[in-house]
Amino acid sequence: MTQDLHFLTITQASVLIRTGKLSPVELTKAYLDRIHRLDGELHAYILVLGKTAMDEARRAEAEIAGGDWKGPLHGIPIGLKDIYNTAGIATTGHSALFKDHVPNEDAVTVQRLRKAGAVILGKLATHEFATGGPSFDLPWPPARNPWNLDHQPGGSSSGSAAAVAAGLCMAAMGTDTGGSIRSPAAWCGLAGFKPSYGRVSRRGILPLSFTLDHAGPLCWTTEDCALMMQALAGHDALDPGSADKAVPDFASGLRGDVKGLRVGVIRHFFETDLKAEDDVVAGLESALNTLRALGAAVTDVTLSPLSHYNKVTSLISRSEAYAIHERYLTTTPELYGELGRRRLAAGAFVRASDYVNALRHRTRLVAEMTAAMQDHDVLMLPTKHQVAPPFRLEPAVREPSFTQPFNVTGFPALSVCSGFSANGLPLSLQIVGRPFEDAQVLSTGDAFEKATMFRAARPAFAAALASAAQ
Amino acid sequence: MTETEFIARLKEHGLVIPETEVPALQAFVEDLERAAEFVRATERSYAEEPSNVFRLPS
Repeated sequence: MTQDLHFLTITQASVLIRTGKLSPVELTKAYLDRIHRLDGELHAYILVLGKTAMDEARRAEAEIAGGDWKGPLHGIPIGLKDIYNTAGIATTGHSALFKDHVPNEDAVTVQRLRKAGAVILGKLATHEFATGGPSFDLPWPPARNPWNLDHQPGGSSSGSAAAVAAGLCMAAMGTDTGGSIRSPAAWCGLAGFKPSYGRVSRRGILPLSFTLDHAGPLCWTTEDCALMMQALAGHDALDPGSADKAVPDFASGLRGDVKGLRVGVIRHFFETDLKAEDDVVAGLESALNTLRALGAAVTDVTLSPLSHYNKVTSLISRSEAYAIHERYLTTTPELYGELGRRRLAAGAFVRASDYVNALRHRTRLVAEMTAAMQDHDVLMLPTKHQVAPPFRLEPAVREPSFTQPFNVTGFPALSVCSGFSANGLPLSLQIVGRPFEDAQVLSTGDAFEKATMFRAARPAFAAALASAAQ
Repeated sequence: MTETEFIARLKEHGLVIPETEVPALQAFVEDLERAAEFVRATERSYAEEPSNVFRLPS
């Protein structure tokens, strides 16, 4: 095949692979070549696993040729945020502190992806320990946004988003404690899915906040996220946050239409609580009009002010993160970058009673959001209040966030591309569902993507650098 | 809290932070303190809810 293999979706590639029209070896080699050519500018990868990836691709090819096709991920090249443990392969957290950390076993999610036949291309850049970034004082540079290299890709799953958007892997795994899958997906123009809390095991992923951490995929399309979810979802008795719930067929749950769907728009979040940029609001209104035209019923919904969600999330996340990092911060603080050190050390100052009362308040927020969803199938709002900003000094204090409310409540949330700003950067739509109605969220995102043309545009960076390199 | 007092509190926690980073960390901590004031100010019945953060395996 001579077409741009690196821009195939999983949905497209898996059909070609199954029918013998595309070789996993050829596909993996195309990605490795592209990483070699382009990642010097993008910095999406911390470690490229060229040899093992080719071995895995050859094994997949032999298995498929022998009639043992494992499913849509068989032979599909993916990347892992470098906080996913990989047996015998360094898992650094993008930090000097864990530079030489080599786990003995794969994270449960990695085991499941391997079982599904995925090919692991490498380990991807992240903000330090999924919190401290973007930073220039770490052993590896921060990933850049392929839509404009001077702009941030978002984080903390920065390399995951940059790599998928630039065609340096077909899908990637991220984690999301306060928005770390959805934010980079939004700024890099991808579909990024944070499943319901408990839907995907976190065991073997470097933790940041035990009760807020979620694992999930970043892909070019929502349909691809559904295919990834099929391999990832399922109970893990050894992850205390994992839920013993039946796993639906996510792909067949993509109904392709939203007729009769009841959409609640949390308008006060982005109009008054944290005023979004004009382009962002215009993009959201346009998306809502598309959904109305497809038959959805759109009404506004009111929750507590956004700041309530953000404050409760911050107290919980900083306390839990400090509990994890205290022994390192007090013994080898010099091994952290400045941003990571600051964000993690701050948790030392949260009083125990404040943490416990934040947890108590959390139950109120869950109850409030549950009530709001009685009359709505999904909630919608922008994923980010602004498009990807240039690299700059980070603000000293917390920034309000449209993503945290769905970490603190655990509801499933998806970010999809909803157009482009005047300066050519992706806009985003966030779709939220009821707990364990992940399939409804994915179905809505898929229908929206298929009714719009935003999946046709790829970052110009990739084309420009590719032609320069040829 | 003055910067000197803040540095003393850092030491109590066993944290040694480069001096140049102290103002930004202090601002971050003060922001967290405002979040804490919010949860402290929230009215709750003494018997509003049982603890739901501990559960025996079933």
